[in-house]
Amino acid sequence: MSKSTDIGLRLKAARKAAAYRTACAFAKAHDIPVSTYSQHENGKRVLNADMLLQYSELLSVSPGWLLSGVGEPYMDGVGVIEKKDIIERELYSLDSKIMAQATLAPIEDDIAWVDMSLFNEVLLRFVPLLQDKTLCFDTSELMSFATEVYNGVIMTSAKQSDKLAMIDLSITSLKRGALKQSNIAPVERKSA
Amino acid sequence: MVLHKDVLTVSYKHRFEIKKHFKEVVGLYGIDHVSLDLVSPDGEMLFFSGTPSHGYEICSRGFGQYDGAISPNYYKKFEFYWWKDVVHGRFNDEINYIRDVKHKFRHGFMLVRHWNDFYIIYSFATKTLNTEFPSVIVNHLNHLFGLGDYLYNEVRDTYAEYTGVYKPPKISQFYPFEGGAPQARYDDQYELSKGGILLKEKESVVSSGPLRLVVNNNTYNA
Repeated sequence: MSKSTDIGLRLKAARKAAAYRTACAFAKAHDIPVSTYSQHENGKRVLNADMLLQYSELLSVSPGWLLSGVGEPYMDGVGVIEKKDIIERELYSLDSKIMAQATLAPIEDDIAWVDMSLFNEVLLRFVPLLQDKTLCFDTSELMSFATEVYNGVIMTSAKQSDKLAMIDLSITSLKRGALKQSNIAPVERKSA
Repeated sequence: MVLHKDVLTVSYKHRFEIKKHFKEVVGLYGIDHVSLDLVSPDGEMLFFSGTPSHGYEICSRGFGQYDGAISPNYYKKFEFYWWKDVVHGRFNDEINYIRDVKHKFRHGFMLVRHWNDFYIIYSFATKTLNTEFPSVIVNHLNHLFGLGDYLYNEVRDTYAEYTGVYKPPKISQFYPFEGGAPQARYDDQYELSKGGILLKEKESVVSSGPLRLVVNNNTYNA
């Protein structure tokens, strides 16, 4: 999905949250050519800085959020929670075709976009396990589980820190399972 | 029904154990997703899910209490129901998006057991587009119930870590699908004493947990 499409989707969501049912209604209300605004919404036309700032002001959203999707769309104020709710629902009810393309997805037989940063975090935690003689897993078993751990996390909208915590929990479960299989009681490490 | 405080993390915390047991079922009849959705007598629900992101996404965004598939309006009334036949309280689009688009679950269904006042729900789903899937499932319901019973008994001890004073029952006998509401079943740890007081554990007369009075099949909280 292109950056223009991302911005367009947020623009559309913000427009609906501002109670403009159609792109035409919004454009006409603010003397913007309808075709121009529609193309901005559907990502077919790149938004320049001036128009980005103008839309942000007209829709009372943060230009940073409109551009990048990072942060909150609104500052605190009256009706903000309801508007945020509408934006979240709108972004979630997007055309499934658009969302299915080039989206982070589980590693399966099909080609998927992989979050290499997250996958690296998974591998960094698994590699030491390969060297741990107390665990009785072979490499393929561990790598299969590593992929499962990644797949169990990539589909969530959790913060990065929460995703890493989920990975750590999963690996702890692996170690616990391995110790059970070898009937060795886990040794608790005393904190310094 | 309320969600257990650990509902977001428990499937990750027991990921390896869940994978070890569930792999015996995943793949059968085209099933891609298996989850044990367990409700204790005080109404707390917990998931042991083979697709932890599914439960995480629904619950972390506050949709869990509106999700018809895990609503007592269904699991208390039906032994077997399809996800597509439930009505969500709110956030219909969002819940369906998480299931249909994000996780690509085409068909999903629930099988329900009712033991010792626990509701033990077996959740299955497939990503297959095969239109024969529903009829395959209907023709193998009892087998699927048996598989669910097996999986539940395997994780029962782990589940007991999260149920406080309530001891999860062992499913000690197979009951075939009958239709309608899940029949209440009891294991040998759930019995009435002479005074009509319901014991949580067979050996314990003085329980550390709350007692309930059962008289003429009516239950009264102490």
